[in-house]
Amino acid sequence: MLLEVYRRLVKRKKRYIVVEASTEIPIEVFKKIIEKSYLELFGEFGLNEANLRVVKKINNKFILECSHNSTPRAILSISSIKKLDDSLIYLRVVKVAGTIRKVREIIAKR
Amino acid sequence: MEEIQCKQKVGFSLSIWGLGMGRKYVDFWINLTDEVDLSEMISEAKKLGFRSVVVSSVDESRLKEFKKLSEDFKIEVYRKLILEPKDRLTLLKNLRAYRGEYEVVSVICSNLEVALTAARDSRVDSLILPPSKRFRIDKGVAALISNSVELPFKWFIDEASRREFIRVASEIVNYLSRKTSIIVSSSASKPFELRSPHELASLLQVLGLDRSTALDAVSIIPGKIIETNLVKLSSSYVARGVSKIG
Repeated sequence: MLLEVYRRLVKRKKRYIVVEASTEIPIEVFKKIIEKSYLELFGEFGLNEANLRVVKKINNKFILECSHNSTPRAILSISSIKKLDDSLIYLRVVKVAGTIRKVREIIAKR
Repeated sequence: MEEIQCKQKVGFSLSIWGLGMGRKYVDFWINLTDEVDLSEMISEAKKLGFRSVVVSSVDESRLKEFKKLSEDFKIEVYRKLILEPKDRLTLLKNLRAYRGEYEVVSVICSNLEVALTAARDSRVDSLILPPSKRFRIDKGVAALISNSVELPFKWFIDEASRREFIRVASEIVNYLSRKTSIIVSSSASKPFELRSPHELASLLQVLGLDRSTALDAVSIIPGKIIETNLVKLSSSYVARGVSKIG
């Protein structure tokens, strides 16, 4: 029983968001603009709760990891981005998956 | 069983806009301006997963061209009229003149007088409350609204109007979500302003609605409005609840 409670406390559910960028951008820049957008919309507390992490970049697709509860917030902050410096950019949410294996399958299919 | 429950809740069969086959997503407002590339716009909408789009345009020939293109992409296109009247009389005059020509009619409510008239008029399909509106949605206004309320996502993308838009959207969700239906549309005038149904629905999720209700705002609710209006515009329609057979 205690072990079960402990597991629930420790295990944090994650979601993986596949994001497609309209232009080729480096992974650091992607992370920076996502965090900036999230910070603007939901503040420091929100950003910490979200546990955003860019897992991988494949061509112009990025795999973004976030906590399960913050998925709609992360999607909204991705879709609010329209500019990178002075040039227009758009990021499209391709798919949301629960495991990294599923994400890889989705990218391979596309 | 699930479908029966949905039928009871929503009030019409979900076989067309069905959940069983996957949702049929509708972008309730695409603004066709003169500069936009029509084929790019429609291919982007298709890519994002929309099966129907509602378009507004000043130029009738562009609308026809867009409709022709949509046949190749297998997307249903419906026409929308956006009214932005300054007073009640102008609104009523415009509704009388144009209601029969368009599948969807939306009203941008820039003042309380227009908002209260549009909210009660059954010829209006959706109300759009702009971020710069100079009235508050309180219990009194909320009690009168019977039409759907539309949230154009473009105002969220635009940094200048974002803060005000979020305020209006949260007011709408807090006061009206239990009483009327809410629709989220992209209101895009350029292809890069289009957003996928899940991105549009995430706005309502963040404002406190559950996932299923948020997705209804981009599928079932606009679908129902279009379906009702198509029946009304058909030649067999006589009056509410009465239609010619044969």
